[in-house]
This record gives sequence, structure tokens and C-alpha cells, in this order.
Amino acid sequence: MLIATGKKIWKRGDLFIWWTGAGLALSLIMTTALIMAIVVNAVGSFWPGEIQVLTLNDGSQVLGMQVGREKIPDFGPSNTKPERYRIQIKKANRDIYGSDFTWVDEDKIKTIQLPQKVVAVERREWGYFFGFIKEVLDGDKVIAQGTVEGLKVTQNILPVVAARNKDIERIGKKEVGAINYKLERVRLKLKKLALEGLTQGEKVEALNQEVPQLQSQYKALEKKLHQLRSSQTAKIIFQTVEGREKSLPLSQVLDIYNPNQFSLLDKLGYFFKRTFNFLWEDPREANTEGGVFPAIFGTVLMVLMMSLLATPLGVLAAFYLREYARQGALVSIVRIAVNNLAGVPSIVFGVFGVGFFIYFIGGSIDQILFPESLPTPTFGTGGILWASLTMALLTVPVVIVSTEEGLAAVPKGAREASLALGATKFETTWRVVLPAVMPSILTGLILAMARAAGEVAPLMITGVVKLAPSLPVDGLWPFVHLERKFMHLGFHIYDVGFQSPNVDAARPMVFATTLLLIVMVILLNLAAIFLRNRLRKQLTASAV
Amino acid sequence: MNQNAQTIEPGPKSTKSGRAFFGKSLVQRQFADGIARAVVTAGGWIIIASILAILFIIIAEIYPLLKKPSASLVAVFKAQSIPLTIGMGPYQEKVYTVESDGLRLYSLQERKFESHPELPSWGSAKVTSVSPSLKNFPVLGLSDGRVYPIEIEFRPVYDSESRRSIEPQLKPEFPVQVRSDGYPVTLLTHISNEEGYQIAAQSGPGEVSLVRVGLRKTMMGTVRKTVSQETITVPIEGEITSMVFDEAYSSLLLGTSFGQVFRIDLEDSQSPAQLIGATRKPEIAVSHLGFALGGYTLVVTDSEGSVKSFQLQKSQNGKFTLKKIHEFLPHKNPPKLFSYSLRNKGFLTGSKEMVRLHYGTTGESQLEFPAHGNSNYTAIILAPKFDGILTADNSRTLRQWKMDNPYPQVSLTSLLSEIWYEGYERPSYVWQSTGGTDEFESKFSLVPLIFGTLKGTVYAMLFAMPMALFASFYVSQFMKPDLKRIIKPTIEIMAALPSVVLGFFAALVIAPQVETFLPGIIIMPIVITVLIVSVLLAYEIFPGLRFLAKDGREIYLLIVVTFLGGTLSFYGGTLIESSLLSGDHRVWLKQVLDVTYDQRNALVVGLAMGFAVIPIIFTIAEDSLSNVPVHLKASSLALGATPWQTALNVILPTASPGIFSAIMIGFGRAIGETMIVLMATGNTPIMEWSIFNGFRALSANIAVELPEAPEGGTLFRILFLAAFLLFAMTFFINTLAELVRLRLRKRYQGL
Repeated sequence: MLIATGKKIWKRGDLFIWWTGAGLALSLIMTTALIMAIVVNAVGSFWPGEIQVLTLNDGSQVLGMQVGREKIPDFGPSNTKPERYRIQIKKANRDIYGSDFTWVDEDKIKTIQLPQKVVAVERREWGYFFGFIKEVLDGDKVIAQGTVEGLKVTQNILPVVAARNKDIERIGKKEVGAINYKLERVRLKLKKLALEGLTQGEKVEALNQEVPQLQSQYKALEKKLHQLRSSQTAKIIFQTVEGREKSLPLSQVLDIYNPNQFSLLDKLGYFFKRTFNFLWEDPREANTEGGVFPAIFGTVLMVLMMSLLATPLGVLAAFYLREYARQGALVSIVRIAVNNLAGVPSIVFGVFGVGFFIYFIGGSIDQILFPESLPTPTFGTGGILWASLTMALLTVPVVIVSTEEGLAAVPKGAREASLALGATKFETTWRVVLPAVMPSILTGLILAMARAAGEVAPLMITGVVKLAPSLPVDGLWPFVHLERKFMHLGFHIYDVGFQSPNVDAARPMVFATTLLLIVMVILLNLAAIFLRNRLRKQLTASAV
Repeated sequence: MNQNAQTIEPGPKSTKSGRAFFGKSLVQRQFADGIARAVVTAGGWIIIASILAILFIIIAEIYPLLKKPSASLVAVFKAQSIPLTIGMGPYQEKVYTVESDGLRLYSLQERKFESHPELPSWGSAKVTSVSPSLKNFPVLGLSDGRVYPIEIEFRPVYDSESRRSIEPQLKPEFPVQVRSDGYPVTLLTHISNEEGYQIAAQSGPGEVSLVRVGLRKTMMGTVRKTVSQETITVPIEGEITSMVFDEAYSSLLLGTSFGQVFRIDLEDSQSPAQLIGATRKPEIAVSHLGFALGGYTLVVTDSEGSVKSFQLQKSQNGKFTLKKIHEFLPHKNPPKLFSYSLRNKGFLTGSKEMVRLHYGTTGESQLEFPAHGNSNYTAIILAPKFDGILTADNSRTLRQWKMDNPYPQVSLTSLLSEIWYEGYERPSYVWQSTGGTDEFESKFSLVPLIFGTLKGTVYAMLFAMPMALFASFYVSQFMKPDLKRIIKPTIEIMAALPSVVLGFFAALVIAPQVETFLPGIIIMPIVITVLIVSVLLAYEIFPGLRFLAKDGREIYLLIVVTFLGGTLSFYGGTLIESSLLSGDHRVWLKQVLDVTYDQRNALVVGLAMGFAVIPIIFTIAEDSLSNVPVHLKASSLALGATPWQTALNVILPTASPGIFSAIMIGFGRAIGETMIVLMATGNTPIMEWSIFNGFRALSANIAVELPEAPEGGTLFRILFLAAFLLFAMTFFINTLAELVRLRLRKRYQGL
């Protein structure tokens, strides 16, 4: 009976239908799994875990968070032996132990406890510290002893310390940076004058007079910095689980908390604080800690600049191809070429950007406008302008194709009606056609933005860096520095995930950045799909 | 058909400002119209120009690479007597010649004689032979049996207006008597480095005198000089015709008039000369022995005029043999003149009537310089920067040629064919653009990269094509429309996933998982099929279960079944691994199949690239399947065909061009994909089809190497060539797909 039934199924082709369905099911499962894995890992990396004390069979103790578990690889015929597992512990304290992570075999663990008096410290350097507070000192004066009291006191004075830290950072980075920037500009101006043959005279004098003024400003700032630094006297003496002591100035502490005492609400609060810091802070520790703000800023600015360049050009080109050009062989060829341009590998655009924008145009600009800083290139090297231009070229076919589709859908009668009423072609285009294709243009633009936000390969060679010293927009004249290199979320993923010296420690950062990028791209795409659907409905609704 | 008869919402009401915008009078309005036309047209042409510019700029960067080398005569002037050897400074400003009565200096820029410096303890000797040098350290063999080493330094001097000129400075070393019998020195060679120099001179029949001079810098900064001298007897037949030091193996190579090449070990004075090679016939004498830069490639010329390059190879038992690498364009007369480049593997050979430039790596002969009139060449030298050639002949004429040959090692054939590199066993395709030393030979073969690109693409397509086509087939033919409206955008979202995310996921998540569950992944298709069959059987036998999956909604059940199948196969895979594959599939693969398993391999790339390619193929294939006119499907079903028969025999053939174009476009995307292959492979340029190895693709190679490539250099331009290849491949494939699709559209209109 089974065979007969089997034959029937075979004949009817049900098996094949199900097979094809299995292809779809597998695709869906894989995609879901991918997104789930990223979401879980990303969210998990900000969720405060519990710090455990593992007492091993040999009496030694390990303090840390469990982050992973795997089967111990077993060579040789092993089907008789029971499977053994080991767990990965994040024990932090990189400066003391040498690495953040360790593996512990499960069968070597005697007990696992949750110590109530334990602290996790987010430090400016060396990653986290897990341990206990011995005492808190202000200068030489002991102001608190033990973990409980120490934690309370520290959390009270931490805001003051943080405020001072902020001042120090502001002065050290922004104000001193501004003076250095001005000094460099004076030097370059002098050099430019010298290149023109001017080594004396009013202009040179005036420039030369600026220097001592700037230098005295610099000295004043330095004094202030010194004062601020010496006012940071508080420090904490920590103890590791082995009893080793570690002294840490409070100015090095970013956050201190006891995760084992957290209620669910505390955990949520901590989670949101971390998420906020991730979005809003500068990266630290070779990008493996801190936030990704410069990368977000760079990505958004690059995408905006790209949109400003690609949209008008793409729309004009589409209008030309559909409305103005005489339809013939040439236009068909151009249309096919534009379609194909969308399929040309992105790296090819990058190569073009390097050859044309950076070395040809950028090199020429340097020769003409910035001879004083040569041989250091100004525009003759990768920068946000060139990256945006390259991206604009890469995404302009998307805008063209989408706009053209929209134009094709505008009924001929509408144009003819307008023309018959005496409107010029421009007036028809502007008043009748353009409003009708607006959603298509917008769809194209959004798709172009999504593509630009996610694309990395061409940026790698046209101006993205792993760590840009300053943002392309700041408070110093001329405010927008188009020649500057910038950071990008996609490249951040590549860099932190692959070029980082400490891949294990960087994993949470990579997952979080990935989630951020995916959310950005998917939201943009959803917006495009939504718009397109609405447009379709509108068109079918307006058809009589 | 006429959907055009419809109302369009009017634009914004004509307000006053609106009118002002377009202009008030007809003339103004027409003027605005004209401007708009101009702007739109300009916009259109900018796009057309950009498309052309992309192609043009890339080709413009490649063009110099493939340009034929050329040389032009820039200076001709007379020496005072016939030069035996010539040499020049790094900027080709000053020249020295060795003439029979000593050394002379000439200015190349002013084309005139400058000085004839007096050399200490010269006496009345005549120069009878010279060992030339590219490092401006020639050794002169004199008629009274002495050898005379001279160092010439070309030092830049700046005058009061900071103009630079080159001032040659002589540093004569002391002459050494090598022939006690007082006969002239007729054949000598030497070698020098920072620690000193060695001179070998023929001092009698079958006798070579060896002078070693050590120059050691003392702590005080002074140079301590040690001189030792010995005579080696070489038991050879015939005369010695050429000698050269072999730096790598510290030996002396001798060529004889009977066409033999001997090797004399200088560190083992006991060992006799060992025969390592010979010319075609004993009548053919060796004319010259010389090494190209790096001291690996030995260039041997013979009295027949042939020019061949060899590698000196040491066998296991310590014996040396010469292995022939290339044969270059021959001369008519015995080539006795030789000069090599200090920058690359190029070298010059010269007979009396012809000088040729060869390239050691590729085996090409690139340029030729025939002698002028009846004159015979007496000396040649290749400019230190490989940008010029200087020749001297017996009519006392010096000729300076400027050479335009910036990329001597690159030609289309050298990029695409097997090359026999120094230190390799056989000709091979190698990509290795940078190395540790100055003498490193860059190896630019695009073949491993093209291979890598194809390998990645093929494995990605092997995975993605069935998945995407099955999925599109199911969605277009068997799925209920309401579900379809959800599924299609979902898959489109999948297309939007940035490739850097896929690459990162592939390398850090998929790769370790695949490594752990490899047997499970391999058996997965079978397990899922078995599961589906059993579900179908159960379904047929117990019709009561039908509520689980109604027609067109099988996907719910299928997701469960597939998920179950996946989990089962992972579990089954571990079982198979521990029972059949001796516990570890990697060890098993190595031991039984002799396959090494890299963690980041083609399988991982295939899976990850699948994510990128599946949605593209799916979308286009689904479109063309859905657009098959409904009446075809309806009539087939009405004739009693099952849905599957209809789909397979009616829909599929009609839509096949669309499916073809979908596959093509997917292929194009996979070829150019950069971040996934960059992150998920080891990026090693190897050429193996094994699915468990990595590879290096053209695209990833560009991304890795372009930031480090100096502008205008060989590597820079080759990377542009790689980009051009990618551009050409994808453009071709996409155009093909587009044309097929256009034809399909016409066909549908006909139905």
C-alpha cells in the first residue's frame, strides 16, 4: 500500500511541489536565524550578566561572567566516553590576567556561587574590572571601606569626577586642538606666501604676530588642565578574587555597579544606559569599547551628501531619457547601460573613484589650491567628498530606474491634456508629471540611501578609516571639512571584527554595530516598499 | 487596453507665485521652457558621460601597462679613445669610461669630455681587460699583471642658488699583482658588497688567482682592510672564456671554449671544479656568464649567439645542476657584452652588431639596438633606474638612449600565462605582489584571482540557484496570493542585508558552525527529503491530517518540517562523525581523502553569498514566472493536467528565458561581491577546486591591495586591470540577461 501511495504522490508531483516549498522554507529559516542571531547577540551584549565565583576542584577560584559553552573537542574513538563540556568565562581584568576570557571544563568545577558583594567597573583603559572594593581613598584619607560602603561612596562622587573629566577632555581635545589647528593654518599661510615669493611685509608680520598669542593661550590652557588633573585625587583600592590588590584613580572609572544586586528594573535601566552610550560616545580601546557615534555621524553625512548629488542628477537623467530625448536606438542603449551600471560590482566604482576623483581631480586641486601643504595631500587622498561622489555614481542608476518606472506609469493622456491647455513642456513636466512621479523618486532615493548605507567595499579605498581624529563637521572654520577622512558603520564592523587585536572582547561591539546597521537599512527598505505599495494603489485607484 | 483615459489630480492651484515662477508673458514662459530643456538634457548627458568616463578612466590607467616598451636616442658624442667599459651615475648626468690608458669622465648632459684623472701607482700600464660594475666599482686588469679596483662615487653638490649638480669622486683602491709572470690580465671578474670585494683573474692556463679584500668598520669608525690571495688550479679542457661569482652559493662559475660551465666551490678548497652544464655542442663556446638581479638567474650566452637563462639548483646529494628557464631572442654573433638592471629582472646582452634588452621573468626580448653603420659595440650599460641605455662602440661613439619601459614585467601574456619564477620548480600561476626584500620579484598572475572569483561564484550559485528557483517556483505557482504578498517583500528585505553584515556573519558565526556540523550539513538535503516523503505518505494514508496543510499553504507545515529536518541532520551528523568518521571529520578528511579543511572556505562563502544572491534570482525569476499569461495555465489545467504538470510543462518552458536572465544577474552579483569573499575566505591565492579551501577573488584583492599600491605603479595599474575585468564580465553578463528579458517581454505580448 505504501508503494502504491508513493507512486500516486510521485505521479501527481506533490513531492516536487513540497520540495520547491522546502527551498522557500529553508531560505526563510536561514534569514530568520541570521537576524535572530544578530539581535540576540547584540541585545545580550548590553544586558548586565551576573558575576559568579567558580570554585574549582583544585581549590582555585575564578570570578567572572559565563558567556559561552561548547563541547570539548575529542579526538579518537570517543563513542564510549560521555560528552564533556566547557564554559567560557569573561573574567575581565586584562591588565592583571593578560586576557579577558578563560575556558573552564565543567567537570573541574566544584561549586558555583553568586557573591553578593562584588563590583563590575567600566574603566577608561584595559576594559572591565571584576572584583571587590577594599577601600576608597581621597588623597591619603580613607573615606570608605569594603564593597558595600565603597560602592555607595563612589557612586556619590562619581558624577563630580565625571564632570571634571569632561572638562579635561573638552580642554584637552577641543580647545587645544583648535589652537593647534590655527597654528597649522598660520604655518601653511606663511608657506603659501613664501611660495609666492613673499617672505616679508605686512601680511607676513601679521601672521607672525598671531603665533605668540596662540602659544600663550596654549600655555594658559595647559595650566588649567594641570590644575584640573591634580584635583582628581580620589582613588579606589580593589581586590581580585585571588586577593591581589589594584589601585585605580577614580578618574579612570566610567561606571561602577554591582550586577548581582540588580533588580529587573535596574537591569533594564543599565541596558538603556549602555545602549545610549553606545550610540552617543566615541570609541575607546581600538574601537572595541565605548560607542560608535563618529561612525554613525560619518555614515549619515556620507549618505546625505550622496543623496544631494545623486537625486537631482538621477531625476534629470530619467526625465531626459523618458520625456525629452528622442526615443531611438541610442536611448535604448543608454537605458540598458544604466540598468547594467546597477549591476556593476561596487568595488569597480571604488577603483574609478580612486583613479578619477582622488588622484586626478583631487591631485589637481592640491596643485592649484593647496601647494603649501604638498607633498602631504589635502584633496589628493581619500575623503568624505570623494567617497560620497563615488557612492553617488554607484546609486544613481537606482534613482534613474525608479524614476523611469514612475514616468512610464504616468498616463500619456495627462501630459497631452496639459499641453492641449497651452502649457509649455516645462510647465507640464513641473505641474503634472513631477507630482505624479514624486513617490517613485522618493522610492528610488530611499533605496539608494539604503544601498549607500550598507556598502563598504568602495569606501574602503576612497576615504574610510578605522579611527578618524575629528569629525568632518566641527566648530572650526570652514566648519565642513570635505577633505577629511571619516568613519562608517559598515567599515567599523569589518575593522573591529577582523582587524582588532582582541576579537573575543570586540564581539559585542561588532554585533551591536551590525544590529544598528541592519535596523537602519531595513527601515529604509521598508519605507521604500511602503511607498511603492501606496503608489501602486494610487495608480490603480486613479484608473477609471 | 486604454487605461490612459483617467483623471489625474491637478497640480497645485495656479497661484500668483506659481505664475511668477514660470514667467508672466509667453516669451518668459518659453524662455523658462528652453532653460528647463537645456538643464534636463545636460543632466542626461552627464549620466551618459559618467558611464563612458568610468570605462575611459579605467582603461586610461591600464593603457601604459600594456604599451610596448620603446627607446629613443637622446645623445651622441665621441669619446677620446675606444671605451672598454662604461658606467653612469643614478641620474644619468655623468659617465665614466675605461679606456686603454685609464679612466675618463664625461658629462652626459653637455655631451663632452670632462677629465682624465691621474690614478696613483698606475705606471705605464695599459688596460687589457675590465670587470664592469653597476655599482660604479669597476676592476681594471692591467698589462703588467695587476688588477686595479676603483670606486667612483657620484655625489650631488648644491651651489649657492641650490641648483644640484653631480660631482664624481674617485676612490682608487690599491692595485694587486695577480700574475707573477708579468703577463697582462686578460680575463677577470669581481663581486662587491659592504663587507668587501673579491676578484678572480685568470693567471695562467687553468689557473685562477683569487683576491679577497675584507673591509670591516671598526668601533672607531675607521675601516680595517684585510687582503688575502690564493691561486686555484682548475682542471678543465680548453680555455676559460668567462667567469662570474655566484653570491648565493659562494662559488665561482667558469665558462669554457668547449662550451662547458664549471662551478668551483670557494669555501671548500679541496673540491675540484664540478661540471654543471654545457652548450648544445662542444664546438660552441660559452661567450659570457652573468647573473640577473638577485643572483638566482644565470644568463649564459654562447658563440652561436643564443641567450638562455638558467637556475642553479642544488640537489639532495649536494650536486649542482643548471636548469634551463627561458631561451631569448638570439644574436648573430657571440654576445660578449652584458649588463643587468638594479631594479628588476631585466638585462642587456650585446654582440658586436646588436644589443638586446631581455626580461628574465617573462622570457621576452623587449627592445633591440642595432649597431650604427659598420661600428662594433664595445661596451653597454643599463641605467640604474631602468630608464636608459648607454652604448659605446669602436668608432669611439657614445650613444645614450632614453627608455620608456616602466612596466617591463607586465604584458597580457605574462598576466595570463604560467611564469617560471626564481626559486620555483616549474612554471606556475602566482599572485604575490609584495615581499620582504628589494630584490623580491613581484609575481603578478591574474589567473589565481580569476580562478578564485569563479570558484566563489560557482559554489555560491550551486547553493543559491536551486534554493532561489525552487522558492520562486513555489511562490509563483502554488502559493496563495495573500501569503505571497507577505513573502515577496520579506525576501526583498533579505536582498537589502549589507554584504559586510553577511561577510561578518559568515566568518564569525557560520564558519565555526559549519566546521562543527559539517557532516550534518552534507546530509541535510537527504534528511529533509525523507522527512517530506514521510509526511506526504502520512498525509495520504490518514486523510484526516489534511487540515495541517491546505493547498497553497503548505509552507507553514514545510517550515516546521524543514526546521525539524535541519535539527535532525545536525544530530545525525554528530552521530555519523563519532561512529564513521573516527570522531573528527577534519582528521578523517585529511587521513582518508587527503583534503585539508580551512575554517574559512568556499562552502562558507557559498552559503553566505547565497543570502546575497538568492533574493536577486528569486525576485526576477518569480516575476517572469508570474507574468506568464494566465490563460496558458488555465487551459492546461482545464485539459486535466495536474498543477505540477502544468507548472513543469507549460509555465517553466514559457518563462525559461526569464529564469535564465535571473540566473545571469545572480551570477553577475556573485562575481563582483567583495566584502563576503574578503571576510569569509582566508584570501590565499591558491588554485584548488576543493570546497574546503579558501581562495582570493579579484574583488577582494582590489580592496586589500589598492590602499597600499603606490599611484601609477605596476601593482596600481594591475589592480585597475582587475577592476576592468570585473566591469567587463558583469557588464557582458548583465547585458545578455537584459537582452533575453526584452525578448521575453515581446514573447509574452505575442501570447
